[in-house]
Amino acid sequence: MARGQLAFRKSGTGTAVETAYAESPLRFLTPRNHGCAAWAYTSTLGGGLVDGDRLQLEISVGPGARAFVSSQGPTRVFRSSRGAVSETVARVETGGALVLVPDPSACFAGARYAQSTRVHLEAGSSLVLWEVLSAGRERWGFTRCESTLRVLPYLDERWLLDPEQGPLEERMGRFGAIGTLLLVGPLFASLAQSIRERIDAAPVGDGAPLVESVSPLRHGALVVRAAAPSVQQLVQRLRRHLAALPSLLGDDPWRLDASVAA
Amino acid sequence: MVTWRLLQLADSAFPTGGFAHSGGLEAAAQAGEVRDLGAFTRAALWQTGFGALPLARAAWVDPGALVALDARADVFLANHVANRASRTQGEAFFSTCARVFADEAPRVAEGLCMHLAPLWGVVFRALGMSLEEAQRLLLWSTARGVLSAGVRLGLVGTYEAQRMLGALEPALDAVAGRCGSLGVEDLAQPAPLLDLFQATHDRLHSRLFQS
Repeated sequence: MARGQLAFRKSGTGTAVETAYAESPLRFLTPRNHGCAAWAYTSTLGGGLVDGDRLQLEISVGPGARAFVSSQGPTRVFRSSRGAVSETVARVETGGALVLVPDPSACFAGARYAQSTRVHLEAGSSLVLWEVLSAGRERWGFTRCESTLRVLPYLDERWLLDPEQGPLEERMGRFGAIGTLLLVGPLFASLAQSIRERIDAAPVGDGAPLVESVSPLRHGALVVRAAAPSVQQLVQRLRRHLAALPSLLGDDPWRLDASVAA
Repeated sequence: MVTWRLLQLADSAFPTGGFAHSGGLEAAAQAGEVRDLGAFTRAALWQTGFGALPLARAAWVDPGALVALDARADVFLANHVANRASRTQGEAFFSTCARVFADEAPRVAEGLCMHLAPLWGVVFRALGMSLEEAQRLLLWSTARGVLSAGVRLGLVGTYEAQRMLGALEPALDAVAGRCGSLGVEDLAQPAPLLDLFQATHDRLHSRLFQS
């Protein structure tokens, strides 16, 4: 098992990376920026998970700190008979904010993969989180993929994509990617409200390549679901929803990354 | 042997409000995403298998856990349309059973969300029904509900819908076999696209169904 720990604390008007500890094959990049949030990117040596890999990432965001955590490219999961596992556990203290937006997970033919993300939010903390599953090179040709998301008391759910329940290509139809975007807490309340209004006003019906829904959760939190023919379309849409994020973080983590990796 | 009571509970004349719901079919059909109603119904069965049967089972086994299971259902059903449909159907199912079987229906705590699957387990247990009967009827009601919505939406004729329901027997067996003993820790969505289509329901211009 490879463990990684990221800890962020408020430092003056900004946020400092207090801990960035990673065991191989996990690695972190923590580039500087001009805003009030600290940034961290995860990557794995070799560019993907192989059989038996088990990653465990712990993220802690201190009171009043703001953290942006993403990944350097998609999580590719290769053929694996025993399976690969990636677990993320995050904790956000009062007044803290975490933006956890990893690149899509893509499982290749024969892959077995389980990812889980659990976030504990103290009162008055905020969260933006997305998770995107991509069909991968062989269009949902993997052996099993499950994705668990638990952010109590807002949602606690799991997607289970396994051909045991019928051909995945039939179940996923024309879609090449599916994702969830979750917004919680005071820092992102007006962003959540504007996303909700935008999606509620959008027509639904025949012909739209991308399908998305929005559901209000308790305390003003919001969950957005979207499915698109390609993972690029899906990530572009999610980023567009978060276009106001740079102004909340004081700098734009996506400014150097015009392309969207598959 | 099939009990008379099971026939009564399965009868479409038993007023539980299920026919006001399409299980996401109406939204998916309007979006042009239903190419094969049989495949859609099978996906809906797996959704029930992994998303409702574990809650019904846990509540049947331990009716005292209803409050916790109702709360678990509430955070599992993040899609507001599915969440609302579960609560309104749970409420209708429970109040109907309480009126029809006044001496046997259980009392439940105040303040519940009244989600259908855990109430289903608790009520079936109180009415003397077996766990297998509870789960099989919940599963079969899913198929019957989607297909009868298909008839009302004009996607399929009455006889064709019944033929499809009959042809779903292997799928019903497969889901019951795979999911009948799952616990609450196994709750999952095997068909997240169905959930997504259903969550767009309130934005449809015209609609026959509540969900």
